[in-house]
Amino acid sequence: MTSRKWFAALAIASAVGAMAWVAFGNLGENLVYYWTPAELHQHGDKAIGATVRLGGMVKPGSIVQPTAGSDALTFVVTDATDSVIVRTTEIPPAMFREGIGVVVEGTVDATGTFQSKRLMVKHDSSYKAPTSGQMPDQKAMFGTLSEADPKAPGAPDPAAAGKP
Amino acid sequence: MKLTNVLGLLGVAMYLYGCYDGLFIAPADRFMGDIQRIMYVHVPSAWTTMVCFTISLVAALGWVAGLVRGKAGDGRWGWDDWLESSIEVGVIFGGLLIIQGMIWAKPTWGVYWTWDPRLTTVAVMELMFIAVLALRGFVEEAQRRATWSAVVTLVAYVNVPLVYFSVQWWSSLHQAQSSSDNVDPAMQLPLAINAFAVMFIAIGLMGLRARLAGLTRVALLADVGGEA
Amino acid sequence: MQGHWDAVMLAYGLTTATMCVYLGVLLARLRAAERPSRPGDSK
Repeated sequence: MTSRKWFAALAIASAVGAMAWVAFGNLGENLVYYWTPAELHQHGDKAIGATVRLGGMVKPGSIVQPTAGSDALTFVVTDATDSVIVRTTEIPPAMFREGIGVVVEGTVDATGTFQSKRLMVKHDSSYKAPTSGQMPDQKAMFGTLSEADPKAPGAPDPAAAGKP
Repeated sequence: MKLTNVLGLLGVAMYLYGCYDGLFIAPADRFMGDIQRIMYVHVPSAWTTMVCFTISLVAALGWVAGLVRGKAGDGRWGWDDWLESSIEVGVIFGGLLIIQGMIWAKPTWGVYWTWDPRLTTVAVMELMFIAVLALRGFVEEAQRRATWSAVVTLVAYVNVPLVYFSVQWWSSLHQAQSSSDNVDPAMQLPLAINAFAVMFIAIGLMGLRARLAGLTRVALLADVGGEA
Repeated sequence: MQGHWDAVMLAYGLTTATMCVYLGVLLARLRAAERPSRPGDSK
């Protein structure tokens, strides 16, 4: 009976230890899914050429659609402080638009342009029925993108006015 | 009738209404459109998966506590029956969760899958609990099987808070939890109904599965000539 | 974004069908397990 008790105690101690490590250990630094524009710039020249992910908001007014001359879609990904120009020949997902969160995979070239091979849209945690449009609140959009202020309201998009 | 069966039947009734509301009454999301309605099965499945594995944790603790106290006799086996059933049902809803997520992700995010923190931790959690079921298949002797699976469950449960908090602790593609502030009231109702409905259905399924586990174990031990 | 009803129905259908199939399997196995066994039965 004693050896079973020790075994059980060891097992529970291991589980508690694992949970404490999860709670208090600095896991966050090792698990980076994407860099923000500021983090990308902080890494400077080290970021050039490596396959990385960049996450941020599509800067309103920055989207340039492909034309007959150039088959690339370009736009700017921004966080509260920094911006990165992104260029992609991929067709963006249907939800892609100004002000929405995106995560792009690709490489930074020598000019600082992010050549994206994969473009993913990140939507925030708000779900709202359609309403007639008001101008989106940019500060609120940043808030929902970073989840720093989950209570920031998701504002209606004027482009969606009149659509179901 | 057994409480778990009553809850299961109640869950079925609630699920029928919740799905009807979610599909045909609740509004579609203003940006995402109708694809958002997957939320009414996806979020309840997530919640249910974590509840199932939490029941597994309680069952594992119950078994280990029984060992420590040196309790002899039949009283302990209920814990193992519920450990087996809650892990199996949890793995099933976890699998559904992943598939629903992939269906939702392709039109919205643009990809079926990515190794972001939420999806990665869910995959790891699912694999770990599948491993516990595999372990149970390997160990034939009932007492040892129960002890080993309880111990591995205690470790595997670490994944559950990791999954839940992943979207808050790390940058991810998957959005953080919604709250009543940012979900339309007309959507909150089918979401709440189905969250309880799927959980009640899972409880009903776990009750049946635990009973099956107990009958199987008794028959097995009777064949072998041992005690239950 | 329009449509995607097929994706929605796939998700709901898979979820509902899985729960139904699992329940059916459980009930069948329970009925088999509760049947009194005769001497010589291997299951």
